[in-house]
Amino acid sequence: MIKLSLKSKIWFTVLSVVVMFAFFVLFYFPEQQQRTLLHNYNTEVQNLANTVALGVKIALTEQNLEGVETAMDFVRKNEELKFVGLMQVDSTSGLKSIFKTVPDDYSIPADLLSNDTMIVKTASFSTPLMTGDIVLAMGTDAITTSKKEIRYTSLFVCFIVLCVGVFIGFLLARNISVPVLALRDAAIRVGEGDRTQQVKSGSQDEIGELGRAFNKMVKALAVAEAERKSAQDQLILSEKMASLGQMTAGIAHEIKNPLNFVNNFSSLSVDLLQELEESTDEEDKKDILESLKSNLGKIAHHGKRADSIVATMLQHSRGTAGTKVPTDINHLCSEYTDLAFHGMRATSRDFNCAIVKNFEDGIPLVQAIPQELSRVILNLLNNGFYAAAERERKNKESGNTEYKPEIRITTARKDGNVIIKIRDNGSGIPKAIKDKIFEPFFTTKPTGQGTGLGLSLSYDIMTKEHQGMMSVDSEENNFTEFTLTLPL
Amino acid sequence: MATKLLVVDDELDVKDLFLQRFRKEIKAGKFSFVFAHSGEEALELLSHVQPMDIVLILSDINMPGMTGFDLLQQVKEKLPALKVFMVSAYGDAANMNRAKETGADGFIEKPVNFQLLEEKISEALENA
Repeated sequence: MIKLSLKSKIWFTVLSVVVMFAFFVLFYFPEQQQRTLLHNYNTEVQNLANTVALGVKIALTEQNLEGVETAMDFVRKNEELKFVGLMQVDSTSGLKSIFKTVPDDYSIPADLLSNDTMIVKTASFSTPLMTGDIVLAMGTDAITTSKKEIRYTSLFVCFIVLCVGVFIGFLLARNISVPVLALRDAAIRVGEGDRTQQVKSGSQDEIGELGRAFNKMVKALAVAEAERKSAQDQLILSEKMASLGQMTAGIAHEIKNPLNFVNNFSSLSVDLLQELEESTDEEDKKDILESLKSNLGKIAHHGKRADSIVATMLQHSRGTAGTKVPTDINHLCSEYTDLAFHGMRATSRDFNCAIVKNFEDGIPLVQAIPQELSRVILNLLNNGFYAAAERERKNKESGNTEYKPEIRITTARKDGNVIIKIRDNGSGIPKAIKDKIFEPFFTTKPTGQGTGLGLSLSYDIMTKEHQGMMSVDSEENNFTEFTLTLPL
Repeated sequence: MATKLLVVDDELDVKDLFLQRFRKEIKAGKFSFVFAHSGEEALELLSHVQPMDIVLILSDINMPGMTGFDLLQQVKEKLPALKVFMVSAYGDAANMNRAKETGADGFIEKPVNFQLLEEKISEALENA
């Protein structure tokens, strides 16, 4: 298929019409005219011949030889006259002989026929005195001149038609092709993502309607996209809120413990002081003082613990505007593993999972955004808990009580990176969906239980915010292990 | 004769807490305490120490690895004579019921009200 642009098609159409018309005007029409002219002329000459013959006949009948001359003179004035001759036909021999010619003494060739330069017509007459023919020959100059005129006229008309055709072509091109091309370009740009494209749509015809419909559609598209983005942002926010909410239960538990110690050791210390006041034994007093010292130390320690948990929670809720700070990865992992564990226990009392922590010593501080990294760890741990819980549930349904859920979290230093691995012994990820798990909104949880955003957010945090990597390894009915890589 | 109690909790400071809180009783020979920091450690202890030595176990519920409930179940299977109290921060009905169903002899909420604990211990031992 040859690709013809709209403009080419329009021009092609217009020019075809013009060319056909030109052909008609330049060739066919003149030809027809000429033929008609010639035919008419022939008839006219014949008529003239007939007229002269009649005149001659009358004259001869009246035995008026002058009348003969008058009759033949009838055509003398005609400009086109070549000659007119009276041929006498001998009634007995049939021979023709010239009786008279105008102009005089014109030798008429026998059996003259019409040719290009003259028309020869014969009219017969018969009288008792004489029988003969009038031979009339008229020149074709007038016709030739007419022919020329027709030619020039048709050429001129052809030219006019051409100009008009070109003009119409331009108009059509402008009014059809230009808006259509503008529409095409705008549509391409919209397809590429620009939702602000609008086309001129003033004309009242279908092209204008198309333009207006297009503009309306693009505006609607822009609105729909803005809504979708806003809805997506909402979902992402709700995912973060959900993760925060899950943490809260764990945090409450986490804080309760240190606070218990603060309270208990404080009240114990008050009692001890009372005892100290009352005591008289030096050994005893020494013991009490030791205990008091130890207690106050523990109170300080647990107080700080509670404090850091609150700080962690605040950090986590602070959203994404985080800057990188030197972070102790082991400490972060440990802290959030505990948080995740308690959070999980708070929401699913029946489920318990073994946690195995395997942190390599001496890992240097890593430039990281703690509240974001912690989000990733929480997400992976919670996913791991969910997977293990699901496997346990299925096992219980089929009567298997042997299965022991376990989460393993390890940190290690390798080749200028810190590697964090989180492994669960759940049912694993089927090969078919392994590629999809990092996609936004992809989830295998029942409706309402998961936004499907956890892994995709985590992936972005690892790759975009920390220039690290995140990958998964899994074997069905065996394990799933996520590997996080952080550059040192 | 001192009542020997086994306290099972993953928090290390629980030991000091009990030792201080009950130092008078310990001094007076009323109570003596053994401590384990996990269910597994507790079972280990129980298998070595003369079982009749320990009369009461105070176990935290939420521990990594073997939970208090798992420990409770195992103790009730192997050493049914031992009394077990569950101690937990989550003092809701579901937990308490589960403790009861699994055979716990008592339930103490954290933060531990030691007064109440003492009373419950006495009560439990009287009914032995």
